[in-house]
Amino acid sequence: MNRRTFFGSSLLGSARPRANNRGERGTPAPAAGLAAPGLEPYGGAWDRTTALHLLRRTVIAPTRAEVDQAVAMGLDALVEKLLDDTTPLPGPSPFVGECMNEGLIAWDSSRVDLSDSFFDELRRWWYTLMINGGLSLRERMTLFWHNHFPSDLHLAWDARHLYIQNQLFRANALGNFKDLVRQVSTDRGMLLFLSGKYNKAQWPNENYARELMELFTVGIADNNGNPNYTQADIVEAARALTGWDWPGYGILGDVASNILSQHDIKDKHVFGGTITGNADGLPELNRLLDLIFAKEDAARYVIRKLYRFFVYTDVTLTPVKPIDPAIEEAIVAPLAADFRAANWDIRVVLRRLLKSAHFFDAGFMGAVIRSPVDLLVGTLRATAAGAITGNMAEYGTQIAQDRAKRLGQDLFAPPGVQGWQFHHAWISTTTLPLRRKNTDELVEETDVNYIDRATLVFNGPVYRSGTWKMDVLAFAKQFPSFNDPAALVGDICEHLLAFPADDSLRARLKNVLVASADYEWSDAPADIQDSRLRAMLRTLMRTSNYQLM
Amino acid sequence: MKRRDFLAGTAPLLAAGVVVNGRAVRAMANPRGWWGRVLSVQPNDRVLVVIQLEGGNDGLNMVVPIEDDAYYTMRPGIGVAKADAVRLDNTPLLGLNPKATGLAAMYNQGTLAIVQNVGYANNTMSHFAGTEIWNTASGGQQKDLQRTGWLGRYLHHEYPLYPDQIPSDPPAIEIGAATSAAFTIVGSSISMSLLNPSEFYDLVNGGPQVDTGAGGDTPSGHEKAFVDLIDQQSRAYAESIRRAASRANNIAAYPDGNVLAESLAIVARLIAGGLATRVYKVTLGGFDTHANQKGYHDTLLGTMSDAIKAFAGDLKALQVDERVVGMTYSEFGRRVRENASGGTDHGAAAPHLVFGTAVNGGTVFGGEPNLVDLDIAEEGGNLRYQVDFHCYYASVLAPWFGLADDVVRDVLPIGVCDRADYLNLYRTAGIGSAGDPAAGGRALNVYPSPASRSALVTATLPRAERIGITLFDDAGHRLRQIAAADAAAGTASFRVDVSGLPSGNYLVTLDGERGRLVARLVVMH
Repeated sequence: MNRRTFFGSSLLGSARPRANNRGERGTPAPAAGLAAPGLEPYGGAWDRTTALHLLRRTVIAPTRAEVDQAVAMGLDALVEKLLDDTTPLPGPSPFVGECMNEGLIAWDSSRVDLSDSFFDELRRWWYTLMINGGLSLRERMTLFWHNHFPSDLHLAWDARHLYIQNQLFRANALGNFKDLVRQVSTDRGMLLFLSGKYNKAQWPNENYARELMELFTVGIADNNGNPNYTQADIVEAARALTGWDWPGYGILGDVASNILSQHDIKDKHVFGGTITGNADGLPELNRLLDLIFAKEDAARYVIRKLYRFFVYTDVTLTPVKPIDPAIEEAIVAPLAADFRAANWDIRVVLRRLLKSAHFFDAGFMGAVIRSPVDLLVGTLRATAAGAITGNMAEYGTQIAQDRAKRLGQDLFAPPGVQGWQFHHAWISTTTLPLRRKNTDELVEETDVNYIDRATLVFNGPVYRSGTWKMDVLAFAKQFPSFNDPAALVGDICEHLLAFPADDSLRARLKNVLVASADYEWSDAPADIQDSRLRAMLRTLMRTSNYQLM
Repeated sequence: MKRRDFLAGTAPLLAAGVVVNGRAVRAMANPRGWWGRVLSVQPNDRVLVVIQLEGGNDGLNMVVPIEDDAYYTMRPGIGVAKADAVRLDNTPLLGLNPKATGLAAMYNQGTLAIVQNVGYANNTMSHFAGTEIWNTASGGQQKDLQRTGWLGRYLHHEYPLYPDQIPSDPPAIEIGAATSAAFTIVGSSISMSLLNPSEFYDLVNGGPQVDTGAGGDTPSGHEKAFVDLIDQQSRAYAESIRRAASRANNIAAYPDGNVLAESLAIVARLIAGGLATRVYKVTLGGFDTHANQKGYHDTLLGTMSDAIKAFAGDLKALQVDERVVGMTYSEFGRRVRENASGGTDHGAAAPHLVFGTAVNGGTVFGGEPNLVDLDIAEEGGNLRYQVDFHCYYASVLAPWFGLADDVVRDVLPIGVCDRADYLNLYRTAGIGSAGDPAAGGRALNVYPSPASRSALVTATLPRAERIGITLFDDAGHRLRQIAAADAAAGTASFRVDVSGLPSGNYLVTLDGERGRLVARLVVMH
């Protein structure tokens, strides 16, 4: 088969129309059934392969110990642990905490240096949570919501708004979707990012109302291309959302509240329903969300996005384009019904999806292109022999956040209101060689230099530097096969590669580890083993396989 | 008639994009070779530079209707005062934004044209959908959604064996870290992204390269193949980009701290360095001016204007200006009435710019914006489109690259615009094509192409003529005679069996009393 027919062939059975270079029409072809299994519970073997697959998609590349733990727990118990939402929210880092208590200093443009260092610190803090997050879906879901409801640090006057917003996502990461939408609608970072702060009775601003419908809830059209709302719906919704504001620019004092003089108290009409004019904006917001959430796609739209995040993004690049009709019918529709019946509890959807035969279909293993965060956090996690703490956490996360930014995923600075594009958008002739350079850097010793202004009393920049060094021997010695080079390479490939290594790749990697007799490896002194391991891991991470999860 | 003469006379018949082993013929070094004689009497080394203005550019504050009271009524706070606007020669009704002095100078020199009121029916006011629609040349309705990029479709026509055969020079380059939907073909993209041409080679060759075998026909196999393809592209292009970047340097000065200028400087350098890349894309972001637009948007337009002016000057100094044309696009224009936040909300039609030495500049196409008869007038009003953007695309692309009508219909199947409707954007006629009057009504078509079993060669002859039809391979070897006949006026068809031919590029020629016609045939098994 040549590559053309290969790319053009159906991904999931015969549902996809035959590809040609003249541009397929966007209207999906009639569903011709699902080649992969459906939502029925997965009944196959529970082993390292399946545990690794689930963990890669949820905790971002597990440690060796986490895989052992997951295999021992079994699927049901593991999924419950991943979805467990009862552990307390992590607190801020000391500097961020200090900033949050800082009430008197005006945060304005003259403090931009402090703001920059705040965001660097905030990112290191979040990366540390992701790296040491254990068997929990909370951090990857926080990332999902940050992408679903993006806000840009450049529009948040006060950097602390985005810390508060990030904790909002974390607190609701595995919570109630409708409630999250309600809270996001009056979140100060969002009110700034999408002009809600400027949306006044006398001068409505439709920016947030549009994105609320288009990107946050129902989507521009259903999977068959029928519009989900009209311009008139947006205009009316914007009026219902008028008046949310808070005094001053800072974060202290009251949360955003509805201000009577700025709120439009006349009746509004959205989707044929009436929002009765009210002196208080909150009942109107609630009524608006009731009207929006009555629409079928309020459930389906976010589920399509979750599907693409956790299972697979087909060749269509964007949420504007329809999902495979077979997937829509067999996966999205039933999950949407569950979601609505469970009153928007996100865990109900995730539980069924992550335990389904569909999720564990072999064709999907290794079918997700790693985002920069998945790649860098995943590399740090999967090669760690335990929690990464202290200076190494500082250096590792500093490298990760800096490189993720260069690879196109600067947390707190999404490229636009639609968030990141994911999937093929991550890999280009620019980013692929860079990704390889970046995994080289994580495997080799890498100097870290950065400016740390993490002090409230600004005394000029503090230049910090150190050296990141992955402990490759501690990593490899977790494997009982350590002294048998071929077996060790096989085990490390299984652990690190979602798209399996074939025989020739394993042979090549084993040759990098030791080109002569096996005892040359097992008898080698530690420093030689260390450098051979680094060379082998570098080579392994430069494969196309490693870009997948 | 001597052979040389009739070849010269029929040269315009050759469609631009003949491809040899996936490599455009214009890039072939030896113009005296067989292919050179047959094909490259007028080598097509033309380049299109596409500038995306991300966020939805406020066209009314870029090209200002300075005599229109409605404009000043609806924009009391952020409108550009008539006294401040830069005046344009022989264009009394319009002025440019005060920061766009470079663009105004180019307009007055005749190297920049303005196309007013570009848009489409059923305009979406969504960034996301709007960008998608412009990138894929879809229509405003979901049923008219295209899944591939418009430039991807065009370049796939020029490089039909891509990605099975990756040319030595990239068909398209996007300056930046990512590729956009404008260049997608099914399953991949035909463009490459490039941040720094000087460092690219070292980055690609900075460590071991590991081939890891093919994936299977599963989702994971497809994604593995996608990553492998990007890998192959970066390896294939590394050397040609290094060579091109080392051959030329920018001559003109570009403004400092101007992101668009930095991107365009790279483009100029690669063009002058001889890279056989047909389309470049650069991006300037930040146009989503919902609030506090005054000053900010002007500065943004200044950035664009300064960059384009410097780029045009550099191309001229590098003596490549005659083969480069540039165009702008943006997902939408903005609402006519300013909002309470001193900004403008998402809108519809907007003006766009086409520039280059070949451009019929100093001209406004598309009529005056009508600020009275507006769409959604009660919500601040959107300009109604007068030029369908598909027609804007066709008018830039088809004459420039000499595309036949059927190719244009493949590239731009929605909002079809006839050749007669093209905006007259170029000073000189574009490259000829089989549909040209110069062909005297004679035509040679091969269908299908790519073909695997057999193809049908159809000659259209206005008058009776003795003809010979011959098949050549891509090295110029005469493979077989398909037909030799005294053909009557009308059409005559001949079937050619290609089942025994290796996959690749072939040429079919028709030699007759009135000259030679050439058509391309791609065989793919």
